[in-house]
Amino acid sequence: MKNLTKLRQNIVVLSVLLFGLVGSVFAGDDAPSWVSQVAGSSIPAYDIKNVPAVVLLDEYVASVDSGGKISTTSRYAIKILTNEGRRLAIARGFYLTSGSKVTDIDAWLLPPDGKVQAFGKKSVIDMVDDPDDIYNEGRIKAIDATDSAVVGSVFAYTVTTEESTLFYQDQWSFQGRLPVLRGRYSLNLPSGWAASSVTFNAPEIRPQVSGSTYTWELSNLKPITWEPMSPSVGNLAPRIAVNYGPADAKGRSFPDWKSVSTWATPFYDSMAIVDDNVAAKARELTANAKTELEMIQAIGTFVQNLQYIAIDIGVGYGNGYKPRASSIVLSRGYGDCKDKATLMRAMLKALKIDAYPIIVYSGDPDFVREAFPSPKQFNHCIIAVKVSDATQAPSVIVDPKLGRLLIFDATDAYTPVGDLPDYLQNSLAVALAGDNGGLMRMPLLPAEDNKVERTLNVSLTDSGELKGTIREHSTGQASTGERTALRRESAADYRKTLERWITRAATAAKLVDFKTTDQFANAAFDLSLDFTAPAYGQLMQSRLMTFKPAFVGRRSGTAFTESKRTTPISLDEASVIETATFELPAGFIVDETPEPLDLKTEFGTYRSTYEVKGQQLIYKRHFQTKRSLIPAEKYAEVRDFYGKIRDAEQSPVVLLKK
Amino acid sequence: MLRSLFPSRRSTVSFAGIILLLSAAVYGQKTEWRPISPAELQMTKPVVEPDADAEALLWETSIDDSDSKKLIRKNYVRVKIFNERGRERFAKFDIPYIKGYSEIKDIAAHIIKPDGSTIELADSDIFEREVVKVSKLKVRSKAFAVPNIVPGVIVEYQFTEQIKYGGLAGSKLELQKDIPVQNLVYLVKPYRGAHLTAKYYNASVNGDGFKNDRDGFYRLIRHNIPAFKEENFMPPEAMVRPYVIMAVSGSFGVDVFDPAMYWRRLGFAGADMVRAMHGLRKDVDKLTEGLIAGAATPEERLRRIYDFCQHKIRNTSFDPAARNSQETWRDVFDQNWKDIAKNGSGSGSSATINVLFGAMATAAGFDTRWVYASRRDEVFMNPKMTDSSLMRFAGIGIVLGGKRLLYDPGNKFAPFGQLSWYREDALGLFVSEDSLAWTKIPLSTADTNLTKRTAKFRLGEDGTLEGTVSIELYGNEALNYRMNSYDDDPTARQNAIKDAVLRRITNAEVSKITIENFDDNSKPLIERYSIKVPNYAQKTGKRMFFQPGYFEYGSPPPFPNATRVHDIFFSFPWSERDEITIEFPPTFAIESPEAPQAVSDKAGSVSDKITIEANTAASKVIYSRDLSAGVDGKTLYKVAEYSSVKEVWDAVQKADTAALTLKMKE
Repeated sequence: MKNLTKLRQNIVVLSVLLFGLVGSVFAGDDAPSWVSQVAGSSIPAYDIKNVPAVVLLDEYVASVDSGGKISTTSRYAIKILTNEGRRLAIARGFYLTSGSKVTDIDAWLLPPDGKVQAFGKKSVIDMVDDPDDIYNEGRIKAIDATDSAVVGSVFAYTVTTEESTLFYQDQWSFQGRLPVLRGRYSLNLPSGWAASSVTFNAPEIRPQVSGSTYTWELSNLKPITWEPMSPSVGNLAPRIAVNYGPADAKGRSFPDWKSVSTWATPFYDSMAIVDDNVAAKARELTANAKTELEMIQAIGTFVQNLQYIAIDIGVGYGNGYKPRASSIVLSRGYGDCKDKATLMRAMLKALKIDAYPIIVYSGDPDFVREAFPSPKQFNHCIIAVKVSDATQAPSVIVDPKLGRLLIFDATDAYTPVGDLPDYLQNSLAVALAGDNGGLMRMPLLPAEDNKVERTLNVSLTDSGELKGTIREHSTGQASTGERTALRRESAADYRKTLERWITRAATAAKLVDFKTTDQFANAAFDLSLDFTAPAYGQLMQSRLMTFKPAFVGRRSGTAFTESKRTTPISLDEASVIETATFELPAGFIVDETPEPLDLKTEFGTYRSTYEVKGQQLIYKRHFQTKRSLIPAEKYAEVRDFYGKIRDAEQSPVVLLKK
Repeated sequence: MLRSLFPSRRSTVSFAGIILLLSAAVYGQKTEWRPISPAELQMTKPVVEPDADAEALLWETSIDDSDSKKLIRKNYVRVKIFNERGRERFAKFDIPYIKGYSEIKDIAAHIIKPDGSTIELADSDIFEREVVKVSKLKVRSKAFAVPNIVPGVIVEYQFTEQIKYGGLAGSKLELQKDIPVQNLVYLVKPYRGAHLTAKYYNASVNGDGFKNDRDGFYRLIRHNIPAFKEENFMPPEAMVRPYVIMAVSGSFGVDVFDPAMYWRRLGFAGADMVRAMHGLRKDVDKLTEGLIAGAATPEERLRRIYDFCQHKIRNTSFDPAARNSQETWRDVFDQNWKDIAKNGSGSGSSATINVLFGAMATAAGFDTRWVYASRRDEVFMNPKMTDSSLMRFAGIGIVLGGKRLLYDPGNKFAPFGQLSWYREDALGLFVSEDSLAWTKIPLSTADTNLTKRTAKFRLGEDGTLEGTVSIELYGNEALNYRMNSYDDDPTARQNAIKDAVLRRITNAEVSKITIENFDDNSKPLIERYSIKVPNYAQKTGKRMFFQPGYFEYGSPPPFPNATRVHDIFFSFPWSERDEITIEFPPTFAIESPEAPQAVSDKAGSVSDKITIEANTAASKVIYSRDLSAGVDGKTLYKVAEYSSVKEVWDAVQKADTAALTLKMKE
């Protein structure tokens, strides 16, 4: 909520280009006393360099009336510490055209010279929240002060909103990546109502209670720096989840996960409509299917290939939790995640196969917390198909109530039935199956199901030219990565990607030919590539030749460049096995090979070996990691692991002329 | 290290341009669809480009300027979808318009399956929304998703855009789209039968230009046009992407395609500026007189004026707190010049500083000019390109010793005698009160744009490289660095240096980073840092191998791809001089150090010479590298020369990354 997306920023830029500097700025105005007060706060020194801004105050006050209407007031102030921080001088208030409104938004800029600039109504830009959607009721009211802000300025704003709440629940994060001097969340409740909270990513934060006003507060939060392979901010920043309401707040509060299921299930059930068209399409797609799995694959492949289009209408009234009717989704040929899950469910229903919608959080498998039963924790919908023992697939789990379930994401066009996107694996999700539904953990597919097997058959000439073939067989999410690259890039660009890959290994390498085979249904992908690399072996003094047997690297690298780390390291299940056979030039013998490497850690293993057989050198390496969240204190161990691998793979073989 | 030219965008953005970018349009009052052939329906492979994701069978735009109150632009597009990427591109449309200024009407779309059956866009599929609202101005859009779009179908759509008081004159029509097009058609109808003139760029028309058509329309048809693609090191897009500029007789009161006449009009405006600038002379006479007193040569006088304007006047254009993006020429000339003259200091924008320089130079007796110039990152200008937006105010011209010289003290970081790289080799129009003259602005030499890199390292027995690095930037290298990072904080600049090293050497530990002379443009910009790279040398049982060319370690080859579409363009000539001293462990001896063979192209425009001096007794290697590129001003290569360009730069990279061997002493 604190950051405008790039697209939104583009709209702000467009507004300025079209209309000139937006609105009027009044210099010499007074800022409210709270702004003047926080502007004088002393800023601590942080370990992290180049913090763009510090949040002086981030306060949110929600007043709820007995009918469930909420009035909110946000007060937010930052001090800009760097030029980069100037772009943060934007006030924003979100609202939905159905059910909520921004009633007021004001901003002030206090430059170091002390002349206060006040931004009033004429400065307000009102824009869509997500320009990518065909229609979305989410909108933003914003004031952009980035042109006027300079280092040392304090930028502050207030936003007031009114809305009708769907649930007596809320979530509040006390920070994003910026440091926060004071963060405060207050809830004013009607008499007789009560509130409770749970805290995540921090020791329990207890509210101060005064009458029916509850206030949670934290001070002096350090910045959360971006680091590669770290958990999302949602898993690092302190946050609370709050339940409130009268004692009998049924339907607006959730005592357990089962109640989340019973609340949401009817929305989905009512839209999984099996009309003649849906049934006919299901029969047509599965006409040649011989097994239950083949039927599911046929339906799943069809649905996941429908165009993803989101049209959000009536979100403020709860329609964000309701899919469109399956019959409509089929007839228009597009839909969002819940539309796709519902269509797939209806088609399976036509084939007498039961399935359930699963609501899940996409983007961070550790985001959802069991302690807060609420639909508000989720942003994505997938499907669980009830399968018999005959259906065997890595993404099948067993639920005590629902039985064997094959989990599938019908929105991801690159991950087939039987596999699951890695960003959903092992996450908590809710099966919407009425009384039988509830919280469950998504499957974690082992590294063995997510593997790259690479074979190099190459020959080295006495001039140092290397030529031969690379073959890669990828499975699971590794194959999804390959498939995504192939399908997303144009044929010419894909070829260029491969050319870059091999020229990174050898400067003047030439891609002679390549072939891809996508075994989508089996979650497998084959790449075969012929190449030549002149002067790959370096001749020295006419009697030595050196070359690196680790010819190609991964197409995406892992770089732990910093010597220190503040956040945990998040690793995925992965496995790369390579066997490279080098035909050595006649007249040369192997004089030296690098030392073999054998690493074993709690999060990964690596092994490399060299074997000389006549005029052949056989080089093998096997890299494997498992899904782990490694504390920052163990960063040196992780860095050492990857560092040793990198060094080993840089080491050359020395050939000597006989 | 090579520099990449990222094609720049024109700084002026028109709303019509945005609409063209975001949309693709068609025509039809009551949704009349044109006949489609069985061959089009059954087509399974692209015709124009074998690997196309989608191919337009027809892309027709009709522009009717016959009504003085509105311009009507109708679009009709028929596209065959071949794969998911093609589907993604045409699955949804978002057509923006400004309420009260333009209007979108008659939207229709459908898909046609290979069997000829269709699925139509329903009225309920079209959504209207307010994209952004500021005060009373509203940008709205009409958006829709194409139903049931899948690979194999044809998508056909049309819509009409009406622009209030819009005009055809000056319109830029693309002759190459982002997807391949079999038939690209433009129909244009000028106002009340006025004569149409079209000027083609990057396209050979050979008599196949606009021709008379029915009902007062002119028609242009182009066939089988491949998609436009961007590449690294390509010339500006305006030099490679074909387009046509429209004009109609009487639209400007003159024939806009008579270049002499056209530029004379711009000259009139420039002459007014010169007069206004000369009018300021009396305000700065005394200041100038004092400043140049005792200067021996005209150049010295100019330099003093230049330095005064650049250093004594705070340049607000480079200060985010004081920058005024709304400044007009009236604001510039309405400065309180007397105060500046009286105080000998003040503040002003880049334009103000240039005008002050012009006024003072005039007061000092120089023959001054107002100079418009093109930018070489936008276009390779010639006077036949009658587009004044390509020639913008670039600084003050001085005619000295028969030479026309351009000065830009408004550029805070350009030392006397230097201009931004994109002004070099560009075309300048020097305007006086009563004359104008075209001048090619000189290109700097490779030696001027020098990067001098020095390092002193120790190589440990465990292969760790450790030492200090200094990098000095001169000429355009220094100016570019300063211009690209003056808005960054010092820490951000330091981080950028560190990140640049880490991109090449991921396990490097970089510390003690300093940047010297950032604000002093009379001196080279100097970066210094300390570095430690564990396992820089690769070890085997008896030997260590290491790349002495530290500065090129880990650099990717500049031209990795085997084929190329566009010409190759380097921004300016440059040179690099490296001197690296590496002390190695005394327990090792260097094995016959051989310097890689020198590399050069046939014309001598690129050369790379490496020397290696080994001192075994002192356990030391001195590595020197001398690279020059763009010698004799050769910065542009035809695409036909790509294989030889790639070959040379591959050879340079190979030489730069060659390794030396150390063997353990027995």
